[in-house]
Amino acid sequence: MACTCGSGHSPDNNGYKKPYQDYLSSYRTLEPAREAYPGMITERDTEHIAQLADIAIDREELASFTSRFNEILEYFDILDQVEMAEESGEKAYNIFREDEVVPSLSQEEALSNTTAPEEGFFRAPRVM
Amino acid sequence: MTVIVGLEIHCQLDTATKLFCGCSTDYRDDPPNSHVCPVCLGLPGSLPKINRKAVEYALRVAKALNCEVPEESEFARKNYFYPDLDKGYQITQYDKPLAVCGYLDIEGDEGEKRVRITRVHMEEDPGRLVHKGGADRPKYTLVDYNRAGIPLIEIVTEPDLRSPKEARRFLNKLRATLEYLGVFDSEKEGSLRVDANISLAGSERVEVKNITSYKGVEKALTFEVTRQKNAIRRGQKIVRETRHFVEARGVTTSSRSKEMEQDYRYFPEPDLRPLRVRDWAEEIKIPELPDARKQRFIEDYGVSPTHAATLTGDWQIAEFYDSLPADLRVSTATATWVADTLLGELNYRDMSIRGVPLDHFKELLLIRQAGEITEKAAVEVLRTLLDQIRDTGTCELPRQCIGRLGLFVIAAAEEGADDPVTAAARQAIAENPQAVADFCQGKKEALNFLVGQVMRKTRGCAKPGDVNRVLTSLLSGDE
Repeated sequence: MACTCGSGHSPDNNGYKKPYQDYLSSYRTLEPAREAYPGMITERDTEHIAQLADIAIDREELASFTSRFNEILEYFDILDQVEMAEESGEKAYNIFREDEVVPSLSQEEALSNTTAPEEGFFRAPRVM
Repeated sequence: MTVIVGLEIHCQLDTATKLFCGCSTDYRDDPPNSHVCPVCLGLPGSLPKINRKAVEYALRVAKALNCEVPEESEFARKNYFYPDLDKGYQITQYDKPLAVCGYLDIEGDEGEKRVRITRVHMEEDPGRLVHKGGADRPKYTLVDYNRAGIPLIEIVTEPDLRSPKEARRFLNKLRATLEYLGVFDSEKEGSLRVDANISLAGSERVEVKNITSYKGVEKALTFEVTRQKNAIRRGQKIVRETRHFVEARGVTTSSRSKEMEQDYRYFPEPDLRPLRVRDWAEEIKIPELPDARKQRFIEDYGVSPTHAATLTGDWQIAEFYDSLPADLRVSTATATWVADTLLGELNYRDMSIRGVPLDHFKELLLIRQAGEITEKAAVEVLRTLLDQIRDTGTCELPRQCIGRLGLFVIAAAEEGADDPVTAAARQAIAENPQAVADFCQGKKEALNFLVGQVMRKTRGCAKPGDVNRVLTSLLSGDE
């Protein structure tokens, strides 16, 4: 989105403006095998994501996660085959709700899926 | 060395509900995790829905900042793993922000200055983390998602600011503007957070994160300028890095950031449809903003430019001034009283104009204007009332306070009568024979001394003119 206001806003928007597609493609080139199998997740991708998430996974899990990621991506291949009616989606903009408060969950309900809550908080590993 | 500063400002929008769900945003006094639902907890199967008011507020900001609103904008997912995000991603805006290319005029170091705004976008606030077990090396982390999903706008400036002071002035102006727009409550804890990019011309830039106050911005940047200048002087190179502002110590510390931008794997948020709000933005009306109001105060009320800037620099104060009766508004004494005395006394007590019963001060102004109390007494009453508010949260009515302190003006009766002012004058004469003698020898300063003595005896409640008249007549009678 080039700035048209003429007052000299920086073209790359403080480094923000690169379209995310660029990042996606640069991410993809991390793995040369990608070019051989476009759209496929490789074990190196899975490892990288595990590193970002700070999760240790072993060889077996690596293979299992990788194949499951790829299964998910295959769904999208199926979706890509669906023929869309010409107009569909055209008018689906600005879907809003009004600023009206609805009741929240109780604290107990909110914490019911966690194993070790403390003083009403979720408890997470050390992150600092 | 030229200092170059650009800011990224995050402000909470003052809506009733969160950005993507109906949970109340009024969480500050409530227990943790009591304002959450499947959407803001990121539970599987939940779907976000955009709060119309949040978009309207963001558009008001975009308009006030003279931005362009692109035909289409959309939300994006920013993926990172940290417990403050329950979903594993933050819904924000990336390459299609709500508004771009704006500006805000401020009082710069060298006169009026236009600071360009790169973009204004919307995003959700993450949750709040409490690190347990020692500040340096916490054992574990507690998470409260009440804040998760609060609507934020991020305002990004071009690197147009040239000093820490300018950065602070920019923030003050921005805060005033947002409050005039009725979209932001600066009194709420954590409602504003700033990241600052700062470099010295020719060197790499450093990003300072975690600045949470207006004063903090100036402090953090001043520290960085000194640190960077010293490093360069010692022949070191400034490295491009992210630093963390430690408010309590007034320093920035290097923090390794794990993620590279590409690791955020931004992609368009599939659960939300894009926005097309350019036409809507054009229809939105925004109220009179600080600059226009300042101009009106100068032109309509004859207030000096300096006072006008102070009086309009905060929406509450401007509203208060506008609510005063017409004859008070146009008086220089009133402008001085509000801009210097009232705000000075508030500042001195580190109190805000909020939570102060302005009606009381209006009444006090009226009482003073009517000559029922002296200037000095008015200040004493103001101080008493402010102390009461600070200590107990409430205060007396002005008349009650004036009566209790005995500060109503004591009128001196006609010559020869035995009123309190005359009584105090007689006493002062009796107690200060030396001053009387000096006066009789023609030393006029001696009279001033005696006037002071009488004012003290009447606790400032006599009119100086009366005291002068009574003393002069008594002294000339003595001669």
